[in-house]
Amino acid sequence: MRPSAEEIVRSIAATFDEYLLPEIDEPFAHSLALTVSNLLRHVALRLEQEGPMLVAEIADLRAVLAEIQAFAGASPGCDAVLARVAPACGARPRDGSYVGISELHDEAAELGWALQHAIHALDGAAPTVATLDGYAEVRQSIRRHLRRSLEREGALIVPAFTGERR
Amino acid sequence: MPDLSIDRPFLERYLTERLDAGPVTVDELRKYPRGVSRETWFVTCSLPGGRVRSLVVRRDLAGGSVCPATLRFEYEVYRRLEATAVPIAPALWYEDDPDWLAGGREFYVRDHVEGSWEVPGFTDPAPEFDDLRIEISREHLRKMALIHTCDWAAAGFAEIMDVPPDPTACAATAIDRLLGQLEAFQIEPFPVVAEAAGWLREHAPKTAPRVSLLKGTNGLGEEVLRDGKIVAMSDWELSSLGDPASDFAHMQDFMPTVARRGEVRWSVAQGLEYYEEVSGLHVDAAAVDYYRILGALEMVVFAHNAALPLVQGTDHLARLAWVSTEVLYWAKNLLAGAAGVFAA
Repeated sequence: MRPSAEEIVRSIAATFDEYLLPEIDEPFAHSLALTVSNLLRHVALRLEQEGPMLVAEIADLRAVLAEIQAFAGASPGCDAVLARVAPACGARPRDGSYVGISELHDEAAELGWALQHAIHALDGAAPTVATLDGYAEVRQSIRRHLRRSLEREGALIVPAFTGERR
Repeated sequence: MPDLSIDRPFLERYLTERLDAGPVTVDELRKYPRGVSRETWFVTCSLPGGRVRSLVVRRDLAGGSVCPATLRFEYEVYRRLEATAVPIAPALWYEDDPDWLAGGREFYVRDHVEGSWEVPGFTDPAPEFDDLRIEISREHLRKMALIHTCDWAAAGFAEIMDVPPDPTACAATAIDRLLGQLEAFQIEPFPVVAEAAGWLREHAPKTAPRVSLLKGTNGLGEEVLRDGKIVAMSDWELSSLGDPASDFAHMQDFMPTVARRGEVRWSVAQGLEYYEEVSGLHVDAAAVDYYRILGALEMVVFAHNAALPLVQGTDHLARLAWVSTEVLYWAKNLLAGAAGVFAA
């Protein structure tokens, strides 16, 4: 269907900014209208990019969790780390049918929780495992993943939020 | 406008009963437009005998507050501050009587102190405002010194706040408190926060001159001024006990750099020196930098908390969506930068 959902939202945002916002004088309502304008641009970007972004995030998370699992499996003193990542490391079966955004969100969240817990477990084990081969590399891999993840999120945020927010 | 459950007829009925001074007429009712964490209403009313009274009503948003600290906590901070020399608007009472809850929400009432949060000329870079900028900065530092040197134990703050066991533990106590708050309601993972938490613990300064009462948010927009003097310090929802350096990290605009033709008349360095003169407390500039990063963790906590009412359907205010998306993103970026994520 054309216009697409994101094209319609962009049209709403432009109309809102050009015709409605200037007519809103009451201070609280005007402040909220500025926020709404920014959010409409954010929603347009999410409609367009959030699906592919989540697919990339899930693949990235799986890769870094596999690295952590390999390190923890080969290193003494890393049982707590292994316990955190192993359950999340199995791939979800896909039959080729459509996967909705909410399902992708759930999968990314499940993997994200595993990474969050694994980082805490690595910090906890650091006094005994920080000098082991592979520890520094796995910590760097985690940081590189976090950088890529923030870059993906930034693509939905930075271009959308411009001008006054409230 | 929707949700004006705090409206003139309600307030006239309520204040007539609560003030017990005869029929009250509300002359002006105004909602502060920029508040994010809670609602603030300004009320001017007439009482019998030609008396006029100005009050402030504070309550949570429909789905609660962005700030994890409760409204009751904020009220209790105000009440305890009355035992100190810190200038505040006196909190009058906390309303939790179900018969009087406007929109089902508890609220509290405090006196309105005459003055303004705006300082004409302060943000104007013209040289004729240099002296004003320096004097306002000094005035603010004098008032911050009052907060940081007050006897918080005698005023009862230990009853409502986590107490660092000693000055070297101030940062660790703050990290534990913030991570505990986040864990209590976290609905999505933040691996970058986990990564930064390790960095924050590792780099926690141990240089606090004492355990002090902290204001949290402070500076331009947070204090009420009249004739160049701070007459009321507002917005205590992020207050805690800890390292005075933390308040310098939270400071908004009131520590400006004033320089002309290469001569620095005022800056953070001079400000900290002056503060030490009036407070007797030495604040380490490196600790202030650290607390700016820790402030980003605090920002993650309240920004993520803003998502809850939207997810639970208890409040649909668009401002919550902004805070829980853009504000959260920049807070995570600050933490990531400190933890070395962008250098990886």
